[in-house]
Amino acid sequence: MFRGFNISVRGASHITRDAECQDYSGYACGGNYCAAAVSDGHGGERHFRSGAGAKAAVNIGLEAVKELIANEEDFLPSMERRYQTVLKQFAGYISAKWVDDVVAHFNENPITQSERELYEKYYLSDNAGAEQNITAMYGATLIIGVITRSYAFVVQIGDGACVVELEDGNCVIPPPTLDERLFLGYTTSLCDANVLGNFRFYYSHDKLKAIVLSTDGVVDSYGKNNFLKFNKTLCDLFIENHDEAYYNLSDWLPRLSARGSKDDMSVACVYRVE
Amino acid sequence: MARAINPLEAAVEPAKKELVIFFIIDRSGSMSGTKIGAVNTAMREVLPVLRGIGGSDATIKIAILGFSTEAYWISPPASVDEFIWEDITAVGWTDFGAALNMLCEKMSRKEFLNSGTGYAAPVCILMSDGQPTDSWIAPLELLRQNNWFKLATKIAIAIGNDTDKKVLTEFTSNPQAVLVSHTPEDLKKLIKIVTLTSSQIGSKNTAINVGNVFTDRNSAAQQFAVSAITTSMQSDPDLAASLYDDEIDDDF
Repeated sequence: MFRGFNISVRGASHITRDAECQDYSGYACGGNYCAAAVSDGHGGERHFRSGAGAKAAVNIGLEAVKELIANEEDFLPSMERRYQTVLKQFAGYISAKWVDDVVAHFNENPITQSERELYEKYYLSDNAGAEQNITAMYGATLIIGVITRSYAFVVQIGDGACVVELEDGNCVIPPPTLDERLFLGYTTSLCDANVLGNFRFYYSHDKLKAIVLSTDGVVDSYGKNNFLKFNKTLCDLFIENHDEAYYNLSDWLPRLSARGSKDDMSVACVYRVE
Repeated sequence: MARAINPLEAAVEPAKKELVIFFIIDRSGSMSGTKIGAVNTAMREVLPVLRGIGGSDATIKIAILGFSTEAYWISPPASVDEFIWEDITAVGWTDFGAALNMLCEKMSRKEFLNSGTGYAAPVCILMSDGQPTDSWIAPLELLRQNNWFKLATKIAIAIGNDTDKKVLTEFTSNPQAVLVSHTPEDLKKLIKIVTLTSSQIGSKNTAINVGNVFTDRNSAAQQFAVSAITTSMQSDPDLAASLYDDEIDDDF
C-alpha cells in the first residue's frame, strides 16, 4: 500500500574540506502508514555537532510518528478540525525530546581536542551570549512527511522543501509549508528559542500520491520550476521501478551537488502503490 | 563504456543562482573631476575581471544606482557579460535618502530580485565623498527592515576625508566595512578589491553561505568579505596606510 525511501549524500564542498555529512534522513512504514524525514545540520562553525543533531531529529521524528499513529483513534474523528492543535503537540513533543537527546549526547560525549577551540569561541567566551545554550551546537532543520490511509501531513521547521504529488499527478509545494523569511542560506532551527512558533504544518485528507522531502542542498540546486519538475520525474520513476529509481537517484545526487549547491543532499519520500 | 543516461539528469538541468551587485554611487557636484573620473576608470576595468568570477556557481549581474539631486537607476540588474560601462558625470546635491528609498523598493521578489533560479545574498557597494543633503535616517530604517538588505554584503568606500563616515557606517552596520580612499589611485584599487572580493565570496556555494541560523542577523558573507578585503589591503602599502592612519591628507 505504501513505500518509502531515503538517501543522504555528502556534499561536494564537504568532500573538498574533508567534513562529515551533516544531513540525515530516514523512513519507516507500518501497516497503515508510511513516514519519511530529512534533517539538515546547520554546519556553520558554531554548529559543530549538527550532524549528530540531524540524526537525532530524524530518529526522534520517525519514532514520534509511530506513537502518534498508534494512538490515532484519540484524535482521528476530529483531525480535520483540530489538526493544528494535534500537530503542534506533536511538534512540541519532538522539539522537547530533541533538546533532551542532544543535551544527553553532550553529557555523554565530552568536548574533544579538535572541538575545543570552537567550543571556547562560541560557548564559553564572554561574548557568547545566547549561544551558550549548547543545543545550538547541534542545530538542525527537520521535515517529516506522513501518508496514512485516510490523511497525510507534513511538519517542518527550517529550510528545505516538501513537495506533494496530488491525485491528478501535479506536484506542488503546499503553501503552509513555505516560510518567506527563510532564504539566502538563513534558516529557523530546532535549536531556536522560539522553536514552536517556527514550525509549519500541512494537513490533507486528499489521497496524495506521494510526499517528497528535500534538504536545501537539493532545493538550491534547482530553480523553483525545475525543482518541481525534478520531483515529478522522481515520483514517476519510483512508481515505475523502485530499485532502478533508487539507483539513479544515488548516482545523480553526488553529481548534482558538484554541479549545483555543493551542499549535503537528502531526499526522502513516501508514496502510495496501487 | 559510456555511462547510461540517468533520467534524473536528463530531465532537469541544475540552475545557477544569481548574484546581484548593487553599486550605489554618489554623483553629487563634489564628486566631479578626479573622483568621478577614478570611479569611471575603475568600473570600466573591473568588469572584464568580474566576468569570470561566477563560474559554475552563479550568474553575476550588476545594477547601478546613482544619486545626486534625486536618485535614479542608471542600470537595472544586467548580466556582467553584456554590461558596457558608460561614463557617468557628477553634478548637484547628495540625496542619499532618495537612493536608499529606491534601493529598498527594488530589493524585492516583486521587483529586481524575481529570478526563478534563486539568488545568492546580494552585494551592496556604496561610494560617496560627502554628507547627505536630504532626509536619510527614516529611509535607512525602512531599508534595514528589508530581508535582502539585512543579509546583503554591505561595503562602503569613503572618498576622501570630508566623507561622513558615520553615515556610511550606519549603511553597512559595521565600521570595518567602511574603507577610506585618499587618492584617485587608491580609489580605483579599492573599487576593484571590494568588487572582486565580495563577489567571489558571495557567488560561491560554500559553507559560509549556507546553514546560518535565522536569528543571526548579520551576513556571514559580509564578515568574511570584510576580513578578506582587509587582508588584500594590507598587502598594498598605500591602502594599508589608510587602514590604520586617520590623518592622511587627501590628494583628489
